[in-house]
Amino acid sequence: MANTYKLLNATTISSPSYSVTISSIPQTYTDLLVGFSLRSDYGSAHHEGQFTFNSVSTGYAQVFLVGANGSTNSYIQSGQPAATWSLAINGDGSTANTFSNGEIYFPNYSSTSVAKSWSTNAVTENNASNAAQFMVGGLNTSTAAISSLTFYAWQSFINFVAGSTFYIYGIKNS
Amino acid sequence: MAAGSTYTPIATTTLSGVTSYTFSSISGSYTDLILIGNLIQSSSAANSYIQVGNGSVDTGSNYSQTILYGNGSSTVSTRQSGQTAWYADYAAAPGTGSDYNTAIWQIQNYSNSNVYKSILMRVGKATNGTDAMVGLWRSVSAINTIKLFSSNNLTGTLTLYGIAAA
Repeated sequence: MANTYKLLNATTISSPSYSVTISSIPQTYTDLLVGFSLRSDYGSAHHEGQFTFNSVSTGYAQVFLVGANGSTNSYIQSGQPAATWSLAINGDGSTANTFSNGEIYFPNYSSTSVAKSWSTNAVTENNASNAAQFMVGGLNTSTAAISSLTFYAWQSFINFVAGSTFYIYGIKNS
Repeated sequence: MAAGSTYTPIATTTLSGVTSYTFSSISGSYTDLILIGNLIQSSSAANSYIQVGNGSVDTGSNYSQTILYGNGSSTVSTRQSGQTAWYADYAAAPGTGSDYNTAIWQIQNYSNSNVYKSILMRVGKATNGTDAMVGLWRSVSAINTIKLFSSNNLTGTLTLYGIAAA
């Protein structure tokens, strides 16, 4: 495999967990791509999840377009403590054995001179009447290189269930 | 997005206050192209555009596009046909200062000389909007030239990757 699209971390959740932290992300790539497949123990069909990087807990802004159950909505948030709506998660109320499918792209994650932005595409399709698609554009004005990512299953009483996965790839421009 | 051993960097550039940048003499040895942008601009509200071609970019009215965007308060789909370029962004145009957008432009079968060329675009900017767009260039010519341009000065990075089917 070329060194321009390299698996840096693969995490599979083995027991219910509210959060997952992936640390010591190498700084030798240009962009990061996070692929995720998630399900929670929350009773709804689907819900959002969040992330932070470098334990930064302020200044997250995002715009999202959500299509769910036959309708669309768009929202803008700023000054948030985490990147909201950036994970789509199948809840315990969705069809059994279905997990969400999504990816987050971070350009220039290892740069120390530009604000960090990202783009998310995610779905919670489950062959039932209640499903959703999220498209998100996000920004935090922190210029620090991203060395860790923490993913949250929305609220602290909600857990990612076993079998949920995160894969992080490094993409290099040379 | 495709993955695998063929995700090969073709060219990368750092823009510093320019109104356009052209990738030329792009190798035809891949199947698809992915262009990643991370951009700001000198003043707000100007869209960026993309033209493609073989040898030089096509400036004729041969571009069409279907656009879906959310701008924080509404969701809209609109159509453009007979255009002289694709929108590279719509609601998610680059911001100013630290307000970078994230752009992923993917051209399918760019080196195939038997099909019209299609492009998928996902662009997001946290303060304005998120775009999902699909476009068509009505030409069977293989693409070896891509131009990104704006009426404002653009700053940031562009990287072009090649994806081979085999």
